[in-house]
Amino acid sequence: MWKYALKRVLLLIPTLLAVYTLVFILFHLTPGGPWDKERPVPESVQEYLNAKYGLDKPLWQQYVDYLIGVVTRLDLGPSYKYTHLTVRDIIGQFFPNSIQVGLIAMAIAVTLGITLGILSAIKQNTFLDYVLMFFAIFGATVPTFVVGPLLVWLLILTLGVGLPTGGWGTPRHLVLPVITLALGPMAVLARYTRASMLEVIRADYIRTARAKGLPEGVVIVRHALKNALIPVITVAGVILAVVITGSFYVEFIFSIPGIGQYFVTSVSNRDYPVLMGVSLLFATVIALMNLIVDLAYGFLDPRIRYQ
Amino acid sequence: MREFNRREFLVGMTGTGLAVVLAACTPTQQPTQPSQPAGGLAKEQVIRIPLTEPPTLDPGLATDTVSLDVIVQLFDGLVGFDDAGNIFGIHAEKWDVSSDGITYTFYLRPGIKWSNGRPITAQDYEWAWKRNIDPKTASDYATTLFPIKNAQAIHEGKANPQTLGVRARDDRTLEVTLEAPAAYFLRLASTWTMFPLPREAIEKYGDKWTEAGNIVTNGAFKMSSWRHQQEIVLERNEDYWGKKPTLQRAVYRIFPEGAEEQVLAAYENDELDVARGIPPAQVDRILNDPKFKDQIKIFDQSGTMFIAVNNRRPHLRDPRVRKALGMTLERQVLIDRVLKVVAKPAYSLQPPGIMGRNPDIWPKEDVEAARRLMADAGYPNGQGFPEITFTYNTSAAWKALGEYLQQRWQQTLGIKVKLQEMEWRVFLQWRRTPEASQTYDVYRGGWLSDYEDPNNWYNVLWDSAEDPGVFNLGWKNPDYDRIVRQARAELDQQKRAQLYAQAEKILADEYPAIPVYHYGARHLVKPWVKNWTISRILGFAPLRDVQILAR
Repeated sequence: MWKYALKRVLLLIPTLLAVYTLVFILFHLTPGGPWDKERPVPESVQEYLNAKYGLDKPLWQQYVDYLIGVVTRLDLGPSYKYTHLTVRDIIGQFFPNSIQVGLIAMAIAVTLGITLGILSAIKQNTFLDYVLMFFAIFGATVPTFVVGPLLVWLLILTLGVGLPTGGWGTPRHLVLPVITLALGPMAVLARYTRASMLEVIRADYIRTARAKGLPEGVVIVRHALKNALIPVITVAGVILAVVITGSFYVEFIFSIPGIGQYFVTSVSNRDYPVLMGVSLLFATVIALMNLIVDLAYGFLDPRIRYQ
Repeated sequence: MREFNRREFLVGMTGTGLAVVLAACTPTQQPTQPSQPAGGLAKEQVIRIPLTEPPTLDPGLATDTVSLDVIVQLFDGLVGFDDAGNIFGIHAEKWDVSSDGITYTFYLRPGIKWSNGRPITAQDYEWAWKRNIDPKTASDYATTLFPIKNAQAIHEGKANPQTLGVRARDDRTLEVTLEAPAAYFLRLASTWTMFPLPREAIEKYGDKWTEAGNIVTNGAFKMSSWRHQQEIVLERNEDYWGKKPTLQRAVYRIFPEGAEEQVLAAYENDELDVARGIPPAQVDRILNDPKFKDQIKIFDQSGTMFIAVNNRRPHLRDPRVRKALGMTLERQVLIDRVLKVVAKPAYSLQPPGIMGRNPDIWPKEDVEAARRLMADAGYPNGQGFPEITFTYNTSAAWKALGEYLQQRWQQTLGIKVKLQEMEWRVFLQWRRTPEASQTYDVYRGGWLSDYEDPNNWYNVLWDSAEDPGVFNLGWKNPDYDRIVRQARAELDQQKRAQLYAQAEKILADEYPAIPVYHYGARHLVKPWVKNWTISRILGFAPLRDVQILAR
């Protein structure tokens, strides 16, 4: 088990290296650079900027230098656009905010999603099932950039609910972004739970449990749910990785100082170190989430044991 | 200064997001605010303003409206200009100009201090200018300093920054030597690149000197906090030497770039006292809602949006063709219906307030005359005229402009137009390649004054020395070059005005680019905010005179 985990962590290294290489190649292939401005920057200044940021060196050396900086000093470089910030500042200041919104949204999505999924499954083909699944499809298909503004318009501007339209700092600021962010994952989890539950409650061992005369609640929670959750957890792990790395749209709509927007703006700004730092961060988070999911299988399903 | 890209980004963004949803909703009737405040000043003098994250608060490095919005509250310079163009001293109590126009001597007023208590000295100016011109500082606006002796050589790495023609004769006397007479030098001296800098803070904290806690300022406000991507709070500088503002505090709430819809929602929810700009999708709703009638404030900007024309292309080299292209545009329709911006039709390339400007001598909108010009040029009904390409950077607005041109030029002149869209940085890089300068036809251009002086227009844009530069590609007129170079140095205002009037005449005859409109700005301002205004230059909002009335 620990050996397996260690092996998987070590596998992170080639994965990150591949991400690093890919991003490095892509941004050097992209036309337009950080110093392309409406008013041309004089050559002498460009030279100094290139020298300051090491962009005057041969590509292979830039590739190696940055890598060495990351590995030896955890130095992800400076931001070209926000010169008063380093990439580490950006990640350090904004990633925790994305995590905060993401974790709360995820907690809500998991609790409600799984509950609704179970309800839907045990009341299959009833009115309740149809209503819940309608909302699940709605939640899964309507994107955050529609849900967010819709909530602002409906709740705040029309109904006058006393919440801020956006911003950061108090729990009240979290309400709408969390709902917006939770809706999609909740719907997906509800649908997965329902499908998986339906499969499991038809299994022989459930019939056995019922035949033994166990109360229905015990059958569902203790016998059915544990097995039904395996596919759900796979999905939840991936969703969690996506959610805590910050949603560009949710951060954009609600002015959340999160890391998600940097993933997008660093491209249009050609802010290479920021793009690189954020890409590596996201790759690490996603890889770790996958690892956690795989380890969780072992706990949930005795048939899966890692050597 | 470049055409601000914020709006373009925004238009592109909102097309996918809020605009879609909000525009589909009918306006709601909310209890209306009393349109007239009760009178008297509010106890709490606090204003809440939207902003995006400033790329820098270093006056030596700032190039954009967002950064300047905060910088002008925090820092002062030698002199300033009012809207009528009259100069007044700020740190400079008085100044002399030598008769040959080469030496400027500024005498600083006593009692001016940095926020750390240290007096502001002439050495602070000297140090700042030498630092800003140093190519190592990589200041985009270092060109502002170019009229000063040796500046250009230093910036190009050919001379030591210490040789810059500026010297603190003593703590309160600053002597500046120019390379050649420059009639616009005092205008330049009023801009942020020439503000003094706190050497101690910059040497101690490096790039991080502008962070709250590190920053040392000298303006009517000082920084109380800067939480990145979240909020900047300024408070009144109680030790300010001059007239202190009424405002006690200014809270800049930081939105992501392009979040105009969110700003409007926050404004409508009374979380902000000002909203700068109305998203295009919301313009009709806001303008038709009586609730907002008294809250809409319109400001002129010193700038022109124009269509740059590649004069190197054989078929565009004939001024008659360029004029014909310009004369067929219906500018008011374009402004009101296609782009939905606040702007004024432009016939001259120069915006109002620039010496020499004379829109009356420029070609007017006249389709018949335009057709005749095309026929005279050898292209009756567009016959024999090759298809031309309009290039623009990705944005809903410029796409709409392109489609308008496509349809209009086809309809009126029989000219086929192809649209070519490019991502912003790709566009910027492409525009400077030799290949582009040979092959493109027309593209979206625009210019905002850095300082309201004809030099910033006639010389910086259309002198042939600026080719290939930003907007002049292949247009050359030796008379024009001679006149504007003479005018740049002319200290006699009357003679200078005459020279620029001649230059304007040549531009009107030759039509190197197609003027479309002069920029404006449309803000929403709550009724309790008094004296909200913005600078015609770059549109930043000085807060010194703003007051909050009791609601």
